[in-house]
Amino acid sequence: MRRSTLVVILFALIVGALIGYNQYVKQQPPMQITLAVDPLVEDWVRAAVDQYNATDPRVQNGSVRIQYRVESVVGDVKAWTGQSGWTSEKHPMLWIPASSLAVQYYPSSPFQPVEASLARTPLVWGGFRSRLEALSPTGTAIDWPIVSEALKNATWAAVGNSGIQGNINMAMNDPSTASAGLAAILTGIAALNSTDTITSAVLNANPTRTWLSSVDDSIRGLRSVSAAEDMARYGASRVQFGLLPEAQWLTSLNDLRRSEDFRFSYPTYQFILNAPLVLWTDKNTTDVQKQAAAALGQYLVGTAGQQTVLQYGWRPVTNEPSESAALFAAAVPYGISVQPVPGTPVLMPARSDAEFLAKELQ
Amino acid sequence: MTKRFTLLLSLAWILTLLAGCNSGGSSNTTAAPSIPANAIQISIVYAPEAKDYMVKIVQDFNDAYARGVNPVTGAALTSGEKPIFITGKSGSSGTTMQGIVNAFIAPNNSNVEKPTIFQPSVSHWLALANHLSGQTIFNLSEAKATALAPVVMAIWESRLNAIKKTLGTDQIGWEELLKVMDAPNGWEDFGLTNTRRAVFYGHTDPYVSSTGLSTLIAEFYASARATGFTGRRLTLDVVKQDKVQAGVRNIEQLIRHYSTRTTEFKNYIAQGPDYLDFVALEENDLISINRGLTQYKPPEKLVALYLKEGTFWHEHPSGILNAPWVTDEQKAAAVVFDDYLLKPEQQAYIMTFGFRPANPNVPLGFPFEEQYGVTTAGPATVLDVPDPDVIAAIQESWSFVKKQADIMLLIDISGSMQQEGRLDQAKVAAIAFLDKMGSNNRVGLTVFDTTSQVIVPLGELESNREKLRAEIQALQPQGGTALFDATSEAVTLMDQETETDRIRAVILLSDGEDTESSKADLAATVRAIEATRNDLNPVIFIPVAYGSQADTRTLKRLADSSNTTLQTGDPNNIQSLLELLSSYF
Repeated sequence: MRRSTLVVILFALIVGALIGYNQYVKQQPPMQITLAVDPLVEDWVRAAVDQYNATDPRVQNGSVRIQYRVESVVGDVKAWTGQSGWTSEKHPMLWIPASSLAVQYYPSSPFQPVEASLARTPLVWGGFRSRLEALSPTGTAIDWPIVSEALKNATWAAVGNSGIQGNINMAMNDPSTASAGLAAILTGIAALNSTDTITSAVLNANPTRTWLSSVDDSIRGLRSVSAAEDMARYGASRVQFGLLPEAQWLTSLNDLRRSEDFRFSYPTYQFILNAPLVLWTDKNTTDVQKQAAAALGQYLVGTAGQQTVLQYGWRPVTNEPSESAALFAAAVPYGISVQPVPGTPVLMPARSDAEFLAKELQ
Repeated sequence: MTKRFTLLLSLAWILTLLAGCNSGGSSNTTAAPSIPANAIQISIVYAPEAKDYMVKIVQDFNDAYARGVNPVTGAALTSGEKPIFITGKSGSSGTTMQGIVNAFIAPNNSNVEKPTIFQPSVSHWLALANHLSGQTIFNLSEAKATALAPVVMAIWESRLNAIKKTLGTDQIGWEELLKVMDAPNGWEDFGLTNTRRAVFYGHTDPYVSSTGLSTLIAEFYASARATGFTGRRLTLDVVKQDKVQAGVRNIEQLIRHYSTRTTEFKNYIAQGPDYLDFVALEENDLISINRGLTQYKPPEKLVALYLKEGTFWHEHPSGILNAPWVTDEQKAAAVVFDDYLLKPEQQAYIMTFGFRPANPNVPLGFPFEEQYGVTTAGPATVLDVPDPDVIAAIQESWSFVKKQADIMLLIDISGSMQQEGRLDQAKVAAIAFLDKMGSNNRVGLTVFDTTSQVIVPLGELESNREKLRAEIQALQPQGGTALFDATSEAVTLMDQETETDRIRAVILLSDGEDTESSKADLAATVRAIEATRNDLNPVIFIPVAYGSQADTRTLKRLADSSNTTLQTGDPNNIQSLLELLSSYF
């Protein structure tokens, strides 16, 4: 047989083997990697995970197919206060909480970092224009000092002469289940005490206790995972303004504006939710799982993943949203900024203090 | 070959015929829904007003899984993804809530419900269930709203315009409605001269009806605010204050009568302003009346009055139970059903029945138009839901803040009542009527055959009940039918002898034509009834045509003269009919 013929045959055999191997791998059921997510990140993570799954991700030099699945949706605070039901025998492989605070607070944390942050969203004040004008007739953007003063009263009748009937109701994510809600409360305590450092002494001081009572009263029964959607659902009749993650406002802005003009502003004391990716790591964690975690992380912080982040109103990890990002562009006329988030970051308290606060607000 | 070919052709023709017959046959039958193998089975009890849309939504959901498709995503089921099969039924919110509570604390009670999902009109019932059972049956913050309807006062446009014009304000609430009642000449003082003077208001029973409960809570808020309450949320202390309860009692003085069912009021008010001036309804009910979807086409437009003091949103929350009979798998399946219910297509469908979409991505459209009496903005002020122990206290207070009633039972005991066991069934029904009545009501018994006789004078049920039972049991059929004499005497007696701050009613049960009256005829009887109509507290006359030989034409004329509706009954349904009428008081 001629050499050239042999080469051709060999080439064909190799190609055939490669195709056959590929087909074999494709026919193998993929390894399932489960994720738990906080409700705040659920929508964009599901979308991003679906997109990544569609690319037929593989690890171990392409020999192992992976499919990622959002298995459970658990509020951050519920997770780190032991209400998730996670055990060493039964737990998600990966976790994307709304904030790395949840990982820090998780007792004897079995979680190892994969990506420190996948996306960011700050807290933002938002409200129906007529109510914001009633709270601040001079036109100053609302912040905790104005809000705290108003919340000493129950009704709009006690706040100026707006003629508005009903109670003053504020929107907030549930501080007993969500990082966003707990953080909102902590920014209020920071503003009340003019400090970025929340200590036990600050939390237990009488002015803080009194303030907490009035705020809790205004949000009790109205705290929700989907607070912005609720405001859009009911208009100003039920809840008139709130301190929520920017991403929640952006995805609901069109619906919010249907009933009345809407305005946004940034608080002086700030907390940015940073959505990390962490891997449950113990003696049973395999290399394949570690590689799968890393692969997902790389996808999510890569170009495609970050595009998805923007589509759901979150800010990318390393830079600010461009003015062409649709949700941000639509919200700029109403007070949203694409500049770096202003404000003094609030330092989170000790775990025991945070847990005490979360349970008190249940 | 030819023979074989012919045989084959014939066989093919026969088979084709058979196939055609089978497919034609199956298109004429409705297959019962079959449960897919390995399906997760869940159940839902929803509020009665949701039945209009839930039947189809449940069916479509099940149909999708039967085809192997996830109804939320529209994608084929993945391997390992189990189908879900849901069964649904409607149930009054209060009764179902109690049934669920009983499942925990009184499992041998005749009213026990064990659904996967409870979807009442409003979340009050979920909170009450937790309170009464002492358990967190429902995670309130996780119960998703599925369809929105604020509670409104459905009021005739002419009435509302009269109030606005006379008082010179567009901000109308209980404060303004009470001014009509307090006016010496009622509606006449508000420029309405071609109508009765009295105000006729109605709301449903707060123990079984969401609208009734929300309305009563709203009345307590209005009364509390009027007495200087500035707090955010009603408390037990406030609810128990004499002056607050007095204020609610004052509002309840506007009542013409109550009912357990909103349907009753929908049909009553749709007949026109003569029957009721305003009634507490969910907004979707008002829309259906204005669209002419009830038994009667209203003679003018009913408008939604969103009371200035505030109201409640009925959000039809989906309460997934934490219960021993609900597994984690079923809870997850229930969440899938919730997601399906909130899809834009389902929300748009629900909206056609007059509910505002709970999915904020669905813009408001038909039938939210001014011609149907509503505004797209909806209520400006919504009240805070009180804590469940306060809600329970408000419910319990109703028996003494409600408008009490004076009722004369007027029963035909003529000889014809012996037929078909009519009198026997009427006795059972009358006793059932008494059993349902609150002790603060006053009831009397008059019977008639050739003459009429007051057997038991009007007296408080607390002391009168046993005597009434005994006398009813002792009734015997005899003689002719002096229908007109009995009716005119009873109505005149009620008008003369009873207090004017109570509901005054005569309930007539008759199976035949008048054969014996000597003092009154139809015209005189109509005049007797109409004579009270211009009072500020007219006597309500409710005739029940009992059996196939009842003089329905005459009885309807009498009902018309009192602006009520003729009720019709027979021995099979007379008990349930009288139980319904007992809910009017």
